[in-house]
Amino acid sequence: MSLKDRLDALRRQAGAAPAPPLTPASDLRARLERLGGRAAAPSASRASGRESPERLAERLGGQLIDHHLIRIERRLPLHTAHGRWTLAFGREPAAPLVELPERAAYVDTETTGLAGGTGTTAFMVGMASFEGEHVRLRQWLITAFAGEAAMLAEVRRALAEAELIVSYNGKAFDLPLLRDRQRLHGATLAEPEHFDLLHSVRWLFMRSWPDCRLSTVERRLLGLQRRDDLPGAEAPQAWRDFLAGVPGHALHRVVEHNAIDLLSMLVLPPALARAVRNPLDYGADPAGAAAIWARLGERRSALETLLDCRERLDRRGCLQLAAELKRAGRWEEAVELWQILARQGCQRSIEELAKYHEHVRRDWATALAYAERLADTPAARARRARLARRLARVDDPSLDLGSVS
Amino acid sequence: MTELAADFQPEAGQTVRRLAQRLIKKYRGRITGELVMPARPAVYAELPSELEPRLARALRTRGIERLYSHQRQAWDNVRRGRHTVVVTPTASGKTLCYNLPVLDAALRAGAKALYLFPTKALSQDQVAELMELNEAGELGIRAFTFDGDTPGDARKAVRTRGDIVVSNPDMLHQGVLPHHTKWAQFFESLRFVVIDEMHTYRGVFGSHVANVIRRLRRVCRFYGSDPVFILASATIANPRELAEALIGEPVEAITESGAPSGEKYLLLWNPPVINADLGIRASARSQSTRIARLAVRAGLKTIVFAQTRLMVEVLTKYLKDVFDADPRKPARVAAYRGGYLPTERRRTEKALRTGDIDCVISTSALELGVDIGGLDVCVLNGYPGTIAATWQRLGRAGRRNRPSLGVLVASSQPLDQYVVRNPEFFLGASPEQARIDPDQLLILLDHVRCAAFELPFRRGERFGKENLEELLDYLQEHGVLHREGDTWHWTADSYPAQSVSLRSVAEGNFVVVDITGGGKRVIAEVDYSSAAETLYEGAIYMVQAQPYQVEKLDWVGRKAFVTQTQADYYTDAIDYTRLKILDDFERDHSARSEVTRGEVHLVRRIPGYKKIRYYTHENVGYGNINLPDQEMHTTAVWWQLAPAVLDECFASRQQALDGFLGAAYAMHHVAALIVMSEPRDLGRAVGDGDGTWFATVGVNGRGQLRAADGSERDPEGESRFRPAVFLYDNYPGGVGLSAPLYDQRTRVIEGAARLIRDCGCKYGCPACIGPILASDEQRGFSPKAAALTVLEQFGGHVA
Repeated sequence: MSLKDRLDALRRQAGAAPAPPLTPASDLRARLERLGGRAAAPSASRASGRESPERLAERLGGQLIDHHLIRIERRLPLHTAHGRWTLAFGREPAAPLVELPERAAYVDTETTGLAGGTGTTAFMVGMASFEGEHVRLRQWLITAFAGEAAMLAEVRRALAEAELIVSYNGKAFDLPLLRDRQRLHGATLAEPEHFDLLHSVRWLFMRSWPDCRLSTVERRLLGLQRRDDLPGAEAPQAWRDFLAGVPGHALHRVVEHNAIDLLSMLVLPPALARAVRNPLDYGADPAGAAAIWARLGERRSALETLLDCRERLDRRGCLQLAAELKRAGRWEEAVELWQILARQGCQRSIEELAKYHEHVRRDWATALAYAERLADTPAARARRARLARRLARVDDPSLDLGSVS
Repeated sequence: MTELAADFQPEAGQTVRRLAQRLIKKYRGRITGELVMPARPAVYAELPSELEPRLARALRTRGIERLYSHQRQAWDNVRRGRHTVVVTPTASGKTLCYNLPVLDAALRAGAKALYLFPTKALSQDQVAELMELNEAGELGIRAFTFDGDTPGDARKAVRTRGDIVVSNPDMLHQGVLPHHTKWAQFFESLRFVVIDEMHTYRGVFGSHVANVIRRLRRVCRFYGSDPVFILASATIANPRELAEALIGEPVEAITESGAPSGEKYLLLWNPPVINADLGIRASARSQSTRIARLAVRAGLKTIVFAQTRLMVEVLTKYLKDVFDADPRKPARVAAYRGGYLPTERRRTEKALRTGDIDCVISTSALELGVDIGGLDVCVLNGYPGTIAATWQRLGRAGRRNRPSLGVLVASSQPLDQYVVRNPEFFLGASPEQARIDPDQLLILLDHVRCAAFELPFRRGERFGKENLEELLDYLQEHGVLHREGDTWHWTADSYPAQSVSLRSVAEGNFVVVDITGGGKRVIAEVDYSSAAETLYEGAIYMVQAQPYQVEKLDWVGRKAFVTQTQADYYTDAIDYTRLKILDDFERDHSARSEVTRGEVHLVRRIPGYKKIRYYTHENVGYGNINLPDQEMHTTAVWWQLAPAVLDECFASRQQALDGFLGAAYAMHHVAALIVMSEPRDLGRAVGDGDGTWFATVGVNGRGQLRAADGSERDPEGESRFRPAVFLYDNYPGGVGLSAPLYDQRTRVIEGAARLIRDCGCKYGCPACIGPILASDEQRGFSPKAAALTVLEQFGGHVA
């Protein structure tokens, strides 16, 4: 039966009931509601008048640069305080973490959601950079979906000039999202190198902090306590409220939230670099700092960091130290560490000792004794079998030992 | 891929013939119909001259010098850019129908293809087969599976480097389309979409899949591609119509197979009557085990299909008792069904291919194209419900161009009895139509949401047959979309595909956890819709014929904790369903009766279960079940009699009740046959339509009237007594079954009346009005006559 027939049938029934006559549109709605459609309940009161883009731009201290695109541009002097630092601190060297070029762009987006997928849009892109004695803050905010193309074009232009992107979780979230949005608009994004601060924070603090959110970093590392901050998770609702014309929407607080995020990202690189150089002074995990050094190919610094903090290392740190010692050819110290760990039942250490006695000392019997203590994996079985063969050949004088290796 | 003459095994062929002849001779009285389909020779066609030379070489390397006619036809069609559906029997080389054009275009032009299979297992088979051809010709084509098992770090390579991506509709729906920008390169070059096992996309699942394809084509248009669809299907009556409904475009159908097939024997088997008074026949179960025993003893590889997971377990136990009594020897009998863990299923599939197992007992799970090699004998324990499924299952035997035997053993169900007593119905009939309703409102609305998430909707766009703008405005009102000028944008902070399941309307599988001896081992999965009737506390749940007892059911956490047990019984849930009429759509009435189609609200309660002893099948106890009611809105057709007619025709309300229950039983089965659906797609109930009372058949075989809370009431004590027979569409919102049912209402009543009148039993039996325990003498009236009276008053005057 056709839709019309079904609607007619519904209407006949509605006519029998003491209800106002239904329009076809609400008939469809009635059918959906009775069937228990999965959509959420209609949102509550919905004011009609949306704030005009001009008015919003003015209120936010920005400019309407396209029909639906506001740009808020600010210049902050370098002596502006940010937690226990000033913005000038952000210009200090961030070695060994990253070498900040003249034109680094610090990027943070505000989106319609965290779900991911093509239904998630950035309604605001914030970008910061050092320019002379100032920090230049630019924030693009769209006042309608129709403004997205213009905003993305601005972002493309700005990033084309940048030599490096600095972000907080931008590798997994902001940049893929911008890339997807560009693609939806038939454009491609030329991206320079990208340094994601979150990765360093994870190495250094994952094991000592409850989480690695930017606000946690600010509190614990920058000495910054945000006041009256709009939680990032509430940004999508602020944008939806604005679109729906809800009076008292919180877009101005999103702008501030985004700006503070950017400023924190500006001062973070040198602060994190210090934590890498002196982990204990900053409550960072020395093993994490050493891992950062090691990833940069600075093996000696990795080793020194671990040796300096030797008393504070946990088992993983000790293993790491032993590995660096081994790499540096400092076998006795490595063996001493492994032996301590092996006594506590550390399988990795037992394995290292088996390897050491097999390949360095060529002491098959001791190697086999360690190998016997390994869990029964195919690799361990192979090792034991090999060592047993070697031992048998040692016992057999007819064999030339030289051929054994 | 192709049938090679070398596979022909004259010895096994002789054995199959001998077994068939022996059965026919010895059980003459039980065989109601037989059919011998002669072997059919192959019809060949040349390899296309324009075939890419490397591909032609690869085929020759694999011994393929020419094609079957249908393969060539598919090639010619697809080359002309026509959407094509290929309908040919199992093992007729249909995969080559799509692999050829796909590989050819990939080699020539870097064209990409998407393959969709209904299950993961089939995807893996398919990639293995593609790779064999690929390696034979060193073609360098990259085919990858992309499903829930694809590791995160491999996904990027699949997206950017895959020439052929093999996936399933669920993954396309949840994992690919909502992230289409990541697949941009793939969609830009997408030239072919292959949909195999098309016949499985019917009912709710098919309606969802049609919408996923709408979304796929919408995304393709965005990237400027317009792929050709190649579909493959087992035999159904309307392959072209289904293909067109699925992809929303004209499709050409290829239905003549050029592949050879071996001689096939088919026997229709009705178990002997063991109690003529009650019309009780020996169980199908006993007959199926007997036939399977004879076949396995004759050295023939045998598959037994059962209708339910429970019956698979019962049959497996009986056959294992015979063949696997010695635990030191490797098992010869295995069970196979949904709910087993994938690894276990793969193991059984492999054992079947290598011939390590002699007999497998399966649900419809093995009906699909999972590669299990050649089998000799197929026993169907009960009519599978549709002609299409029957042929599909029978096709499991005789894959290798050699004789095979199929036996359809009827159960006492009316549908089965109808089929074996009217062999010409089955042997001459065309298979069923596969129906889908992609515009079912709830399903459509779900996919409009998903599509809006993927790309904003623009005014004038089309998606489905309902008024799209109304749906979009509806979603805007619910805060999901935002309209801006001519465009609707997604604004909610959610990922809609996550909450839409293609397979069912409900969500969340249950896992079965074995806690025997303090352990915690997941042994099976059960889907939400059947959890209530299989995993209640006290239920015996079987895996490979090992009984487990459910100790605790965590309904919210979707877990059932079980322990191994030695029970000598199995359990069967009692089902109380009541309906409330919400709305009438259309009505047809006379002075005596009326029939109405409309919308109903249904509440299903499982209040308890019966314990049934093995072999004797006697009832050895009851248990209570405490589970939340399951609710559903759907559409239904219902029949009622005028109060005066009720008083005039029946001496008591009890008589009327028994008449309505008996009539409903027969009508349900005839209706399933007439609207060409599977019986479980329709539900039946007898009640008063206000949901105040409903009727069930009690343990004494008599109708009982129960209140909404399940308590028994006296029919004579009710102030209002207007019983109705309800036949309802068994899916939330309905999938379009009630309209054809209403259109065919006269045939339903006449068919049901004929079924009862022509039945040989005295008082009524499971083959007509349902199990009757008390004789007419004890009861004081004939329930069979009462059911016929009801049907006559409904208008069923049989000439």
